[in-house]
Amino acid sequence: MRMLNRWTRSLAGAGALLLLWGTPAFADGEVTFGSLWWDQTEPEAKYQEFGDLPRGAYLESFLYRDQVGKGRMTLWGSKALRDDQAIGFSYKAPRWRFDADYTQTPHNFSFVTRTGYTLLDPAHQVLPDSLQRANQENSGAYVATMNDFLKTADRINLGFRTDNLAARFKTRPARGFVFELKGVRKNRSGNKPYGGSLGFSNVIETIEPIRQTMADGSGTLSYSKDRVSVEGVVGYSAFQNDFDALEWDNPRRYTDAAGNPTKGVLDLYPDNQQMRLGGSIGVQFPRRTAFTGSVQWAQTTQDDKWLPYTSNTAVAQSSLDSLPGTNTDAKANTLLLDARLTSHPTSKVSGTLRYRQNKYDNKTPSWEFAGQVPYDGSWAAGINDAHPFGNEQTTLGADLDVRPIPEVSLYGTVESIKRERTFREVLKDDETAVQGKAVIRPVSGIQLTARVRHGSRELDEFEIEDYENAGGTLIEQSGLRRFDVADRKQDLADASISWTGMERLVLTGSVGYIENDYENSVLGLQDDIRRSASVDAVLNASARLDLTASIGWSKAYTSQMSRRSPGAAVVQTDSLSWQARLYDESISAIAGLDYVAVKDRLTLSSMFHFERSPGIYRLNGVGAYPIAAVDLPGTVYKRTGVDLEAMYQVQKNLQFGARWAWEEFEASDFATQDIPLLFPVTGTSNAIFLGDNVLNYRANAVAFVVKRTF
Amino acid sequence: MTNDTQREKPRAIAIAGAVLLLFAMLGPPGARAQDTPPPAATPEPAAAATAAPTGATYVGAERCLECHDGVEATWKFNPHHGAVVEGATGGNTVGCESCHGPGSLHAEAEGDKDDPKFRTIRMFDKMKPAEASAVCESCHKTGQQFYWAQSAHSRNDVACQSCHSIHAAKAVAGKALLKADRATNLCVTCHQEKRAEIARTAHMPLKEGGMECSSCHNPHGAPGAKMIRAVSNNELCGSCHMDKRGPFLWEHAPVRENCVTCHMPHGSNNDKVLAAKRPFLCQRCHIASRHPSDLYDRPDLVGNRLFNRSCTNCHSQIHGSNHPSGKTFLR
Repeated sequence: MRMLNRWTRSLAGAGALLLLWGTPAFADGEVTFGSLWWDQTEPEAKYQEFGDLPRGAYLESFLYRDQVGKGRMTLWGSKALRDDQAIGFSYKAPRWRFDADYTQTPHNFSFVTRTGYTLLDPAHQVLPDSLQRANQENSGAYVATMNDFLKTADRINLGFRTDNLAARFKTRPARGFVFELKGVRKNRSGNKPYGGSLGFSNVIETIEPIRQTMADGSGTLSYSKDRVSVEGVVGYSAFQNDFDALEWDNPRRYTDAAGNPTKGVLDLYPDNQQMRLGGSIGVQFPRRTAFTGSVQWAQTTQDDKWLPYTSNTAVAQSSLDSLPGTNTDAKANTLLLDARLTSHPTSKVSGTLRYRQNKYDNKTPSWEFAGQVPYDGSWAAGINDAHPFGNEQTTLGADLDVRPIPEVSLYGTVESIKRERTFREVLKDDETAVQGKAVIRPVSGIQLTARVRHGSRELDEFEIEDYENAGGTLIEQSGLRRFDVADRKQDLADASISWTGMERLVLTGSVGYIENDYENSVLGLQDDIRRSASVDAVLNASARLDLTASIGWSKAYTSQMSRRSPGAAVVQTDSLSWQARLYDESISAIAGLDYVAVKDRLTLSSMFHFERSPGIYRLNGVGAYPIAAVDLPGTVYKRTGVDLEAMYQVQKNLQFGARWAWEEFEASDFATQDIPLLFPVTGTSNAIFLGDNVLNYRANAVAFVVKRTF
Repeated sequence: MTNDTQREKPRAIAIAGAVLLLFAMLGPPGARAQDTPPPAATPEPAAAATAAPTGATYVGAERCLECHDGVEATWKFNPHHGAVVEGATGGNTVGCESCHGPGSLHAEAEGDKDDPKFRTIRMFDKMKPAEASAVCESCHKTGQQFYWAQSAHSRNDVACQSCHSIHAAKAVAGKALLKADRATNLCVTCHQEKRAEIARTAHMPLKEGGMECSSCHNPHGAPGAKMIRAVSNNELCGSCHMDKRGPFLWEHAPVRENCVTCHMPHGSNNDKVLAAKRPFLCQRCHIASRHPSDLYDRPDLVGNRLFNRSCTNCHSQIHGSNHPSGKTFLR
């Protein structure tokens, strides 16, 4: 099959070249065809996470444009005939146009995995009966039996791909009218590592099969006359999952028993549908004054059938009759109201008033369940209420911009944001934000920009009942304030400079700082501080030489407080508190060179890229924490690469090129490397993982290409 | 706050809005003459949008190409070429003068840049951003560009021509007539910090070309915050990750409100573009008793709560579950 694919590609590429060798009278375009070889030190690792490099002949890109009838057609492709290809077509007539494109986006996980499970369709991961029976009958030999079994298990690839087909038709049927139809269909298929538990600390890492279809279509009609524009849109989208549930065998059990199921069942993402309606109006007044108003409404529904409480036939609640209903009957309405008025009353002053309301009104019924079977093991009685979370955000803002002199621009913003929620510990909060920005051009070629912003979010009331069980006992720390709803002071400052003082050199630099201070949170996230800096330079050194460089750096620091409660009861004293301070840093650099070695003949180009992302985890007990906390090992992800290219122009429309690429990937992460198949490594081994994980590699790629333009 | 005050607030906002509108329409004395463009040779929408020379008449594209012969190669496949738009300048078919204005005087200058007539057409690189954009807006005022006047880019003196080029587009197949091969490469020239973010170890397929900044943001403006292409972050993320949009039987509250509470869509050092490494991310909100409250430090590397997906090894349905036993997202 691989040979066939290569021949198919070769023939297609050669055919395209031959077809286009002549010079059509009106048409133009290009085709780039070549052959690529690459290798890497760890064959199972993925050279590119979102790419799929071929080996052998390939059609890299093509473009063909011509006049057809009264219109123009364009056919183009990039990374053509590969698994990450993009191919597009468009036809533009005087009154209408049609566009369609097809893209494939792979997502490869750089994992090496092995699993003893076999996938039966639909989504049933099975183990040999003999293995389950052996483990059940001789549980004392479980670790040895499973180690022997897993070590000989097959290695498998993990990853998925999204195929995206989009089409658009746009026409101007009559004066002032524009009508547009759009449709998108995405197919996602493949697999990814997933987890399910068959008891406390008894996780089984398995593989989630993915076969999903997403479709979205919309129609928009616009009309504009003089200073008024109106627009209406209707849309529909649907998600369909071919795998409703994932079943995986319990390696310990062959027959169901109370507390010990033969398998576990996960309910995978349910199908859903969404209907959308919207309308907008825009009115222009003198002095660049504009009003726009929008109303958008959507309803999302989901009514997949429920699975039973458990697949364990030894549990009485394994029958669907035990459930209070048959499906969630979920429904949520989204409403957006937006109105803005912008004006430039003078050439030096402009302003905007904004109002925006966004509501997620969750109409899903509240369901009450008499209990649950969390691990497909045993029935845990107790009322469980499923709450439909909803939220609403209203923003009122005003912007005022002043340009007192040509060299200075000042921007000011005031915003008031109100949020409301249902079924949360904080039902309302208010946030006020003030922002100022200045752009100064002191001399020709220099521009300085500085911005500061201060925001203050205050919760209206904290509902401590949300942290209590039905009996009024605390089940969460009373001092915890979850950071998405907690009181917050937010400060932002950033500045940039752009210098074009020299004719051939452009220099830009920027720094940024943002701090989120959760000052009233005794427990939970306390601080979140992010700093960044970057410099870009573009130098046109000569008519033949262009140089570009860019360096970016950022560092995030967060501090969070927690408190250990080893037993069932929440400990309210401070003696078991602990703190985690996390540092995430990243630095990236890009440098490029383009050099015309021989005018109209030979060009050389190169690109260097470097990215390094270290993480540091500082952990410590606070007060009388009984055990000295030990920091986790630091993590580092690093990627370095070089690309070189030489293109030689044989004749006006024909170029030959050679390319070489080198990339090195190094990772050091305790969470994703050297993972044993059975966990924990001390004590009773219950958990099963997929084994080895992210791998380091070095890759080399060589390509020869032919580029023909016409 | 009293009820009376609450009633007063909308009224105050309405009055403030009306005053601003009135102020905008009437303007201060003298402003009208200063801001009104000089009349065009032929009154039509595009010419009225910005300064156009007086006295010039339309001569047709063929006359322009007599001198600007190099333009034809790029122009003939330009999406504007030959488009029929009633009300466009110089006839119903878009041509050179639809954007540059009537060219008779310019043509008479015969390339002499010192001749005052030479500058009687619109030269976009010499125009103020708002004036240059106004020419494009005369046709492009609905659809993608509906919110341009109120967009952050417009407010910050970014013109259409800052990103698009009619005659020198570099995008693949001339897509959107962008000045760079890809939208993302164009965006990061100003948004430098984002260039570093999308290079982080966990990232969306931006740098590989699987998506663009403009896949999520509408650079021409949008009703959503940060000019996103949806009414909220969740609606936006859900347009590609429809599997996670629910609604579910068991909801995870922050998931339902805002995806970016846990994820950093521009890039992160952590798996799944998470804002922090698990379990610490989860432990910012879940302390409770027993295992969520434990400090997992170096000695726990022999356990299973620090590996792979950590908490979500077991709570794998963290975006929501439709299983009757899925209250804690285990099923």
